[in-house]
Amino acid sequence: MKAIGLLVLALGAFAPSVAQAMCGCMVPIRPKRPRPNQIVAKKILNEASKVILVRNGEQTIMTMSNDVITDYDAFGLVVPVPTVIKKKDVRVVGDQIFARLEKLTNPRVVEKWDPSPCPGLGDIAMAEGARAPSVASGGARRSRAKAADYGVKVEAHYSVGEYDIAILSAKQGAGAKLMKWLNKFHYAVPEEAVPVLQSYIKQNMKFFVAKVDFRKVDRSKKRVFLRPIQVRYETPRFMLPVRLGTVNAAGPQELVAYMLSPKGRIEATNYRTIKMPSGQDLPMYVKNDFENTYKAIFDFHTKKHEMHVLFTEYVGRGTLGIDNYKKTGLGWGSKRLRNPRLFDHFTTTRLHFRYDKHAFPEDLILQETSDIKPFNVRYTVHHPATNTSCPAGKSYLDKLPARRANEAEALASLTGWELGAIRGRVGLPPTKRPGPTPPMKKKVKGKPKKGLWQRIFE
Amino acid sequence: MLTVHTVVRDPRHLQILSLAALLVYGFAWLEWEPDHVHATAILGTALVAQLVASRIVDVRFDPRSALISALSLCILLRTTSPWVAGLVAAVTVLSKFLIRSNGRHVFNPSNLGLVAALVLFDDAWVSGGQWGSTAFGAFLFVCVGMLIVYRAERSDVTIAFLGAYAALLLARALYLGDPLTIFVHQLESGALLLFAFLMISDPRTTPDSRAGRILFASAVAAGAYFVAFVLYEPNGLLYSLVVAAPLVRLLDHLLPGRRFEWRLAGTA
Repeated sequence: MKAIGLLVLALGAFAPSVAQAMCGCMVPIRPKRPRPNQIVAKKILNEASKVILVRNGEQTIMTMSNDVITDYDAFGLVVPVPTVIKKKDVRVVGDQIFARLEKLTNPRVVEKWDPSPCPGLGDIAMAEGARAPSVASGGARRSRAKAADYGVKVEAHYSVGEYDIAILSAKQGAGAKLMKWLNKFHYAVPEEAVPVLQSYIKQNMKFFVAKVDFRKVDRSKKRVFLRPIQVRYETPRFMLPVRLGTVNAAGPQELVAYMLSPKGRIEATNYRTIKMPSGQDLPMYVKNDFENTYKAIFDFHTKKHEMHVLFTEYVGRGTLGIDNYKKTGLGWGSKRLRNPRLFDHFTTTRLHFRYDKHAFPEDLILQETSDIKPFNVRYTVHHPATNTSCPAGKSYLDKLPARRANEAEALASLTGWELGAIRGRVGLPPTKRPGPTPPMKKKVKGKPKKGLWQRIFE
Repeated sequence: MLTVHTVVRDPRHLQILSLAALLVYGFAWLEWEPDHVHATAILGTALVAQLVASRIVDVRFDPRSALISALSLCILLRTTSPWVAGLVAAVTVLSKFLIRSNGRHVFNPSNLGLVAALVLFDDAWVSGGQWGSTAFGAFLFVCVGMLIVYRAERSDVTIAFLGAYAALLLARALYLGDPLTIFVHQLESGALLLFAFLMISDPRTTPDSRAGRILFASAVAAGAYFVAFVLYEPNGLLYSLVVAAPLVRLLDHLLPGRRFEWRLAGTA
């Protein structure tokens, strides 16, 4: 399981082989007249673990999305939490919230249509665009599991659908007893996880174990969706545990964290957090393959920073709506929330990063800032005007190659793709027209072509 | 008289240059978000406050210390409001004139300004992670920093602080059984190195004697560790230094030494 902060222990001798899966469905929509249209990326997070963290004062509510492909019939999740968790502090929730958050916060391409340069003529090109709401499918069949007596004094032990949750009391959860407890009930603790668990135990972290019995889960399809677990706790420690997530992993893990705060944008204090480059004009063809384009942008920038940074992909205040806010855990325990704007002062931040134990040796320490400036990764493509049969039209057409060249360069600098190939795709010659012996230039890669002063003052 | 010789010899000039270079590095390479309005508010208010206060107490207007404080605030203070930025700059500079004991100011001005901002205003924060942590960056920091503190004859505070803090981090890593990559990562923090070389090393707000400075630095390191790993608050370095500042007077009383004056290095 590629889930952060969770340790997947196989009931058996071997760790399960796992992979991520997410289903998305696309519904094309054709608007009737040309106006700016947004194409939201979908399916870019299939390989990523997802978590929601709500911070409200000293309370944290964490929701973990779990997607698994495994051959084993049962395995367990071990979740480290800073304080003792009571039964009323853990629940299983529907998984739609992740799809909704993803749709709201995904990077997007905005289509714009150039107005006709010729006076009096309207542009009669039909707009075509696709909006892509993703719909997560799947769900677990509900059934009751028998409470097993593990011989350990647990504070609470109950079943919800596919989960058998055991919450260990303060005494049993701390110290070497956890290791004994896990080993006694044949959880095969991977060797690499042992020092991490020991470290958490010494830091006074507590644990709860959620055992998943796959026999209670619909296995008719290849991919299995387990419902997210939501847990809340009070602690001054605002952190995101990632160390356990690297234990099972063959390579770098990818994580998307949706974080909510009444103050503003959330960032890490022990790692660099920067905004993903956004706002560029890109070649038209990108809109038909935006998912792969954005994946390339993400990959390229991750490599550029050698996996040492977190990327902010979205900041938005009051954008979720009361239903979605409640699904993140806000208002948990309140009987009825009449005011639909009750949580509109919460800012949603989306952080997306790739990590392994070398680039991210410590857990993330987070802080709330009061920055509420909206941000969303978006790029623009421009449809050229079709009615250009006038003198102004000729001058408009003459400027188009230069614009295409800039768009190609912007795409090359964002993705690291070869500039010549991009220029070819937009109908430009692979190299710029030779002038009077131009000097040798390096291919555009790495930082965008901005001078030092531009970078300071823009 | 201001000659090339005097410019080069005064460690404050080197500090101003270094802070300006760090600011440029941050905006140009580390992709900090530039905010010219804030920078103007901070620099303008700091210099005006220095001018007005100097006139009131009838001393010569010397912009250097105000510049150092203002540049530090530009690097460290984050807020959405230029009013907060200006107010913090004013508090920073005026604290030198208003909070004094035994003939000198008690608090490192930018340190006090930042803590006041964090405590008094909701709309103020410090981004500890804004430097990232790469070995090369850390190395550069150390080299430049050593030069500055050597010039200001305060390298003992820096070394004692880093040594004590590193020892505490190492002890924690060993106790928890954590890999040493965590310890190294915690030391590679630009915020830590900036604090060690350019904040705690302020010769006017540290004890006069070497023994006093080493004790002071160790106390600040212990306080910072406590805030970070017991209280789990960010910015432990800043809070610890502010709380420890009044101790300087006590340490000078118990362990007297020669008071530091801003004179050119190498002159009498």
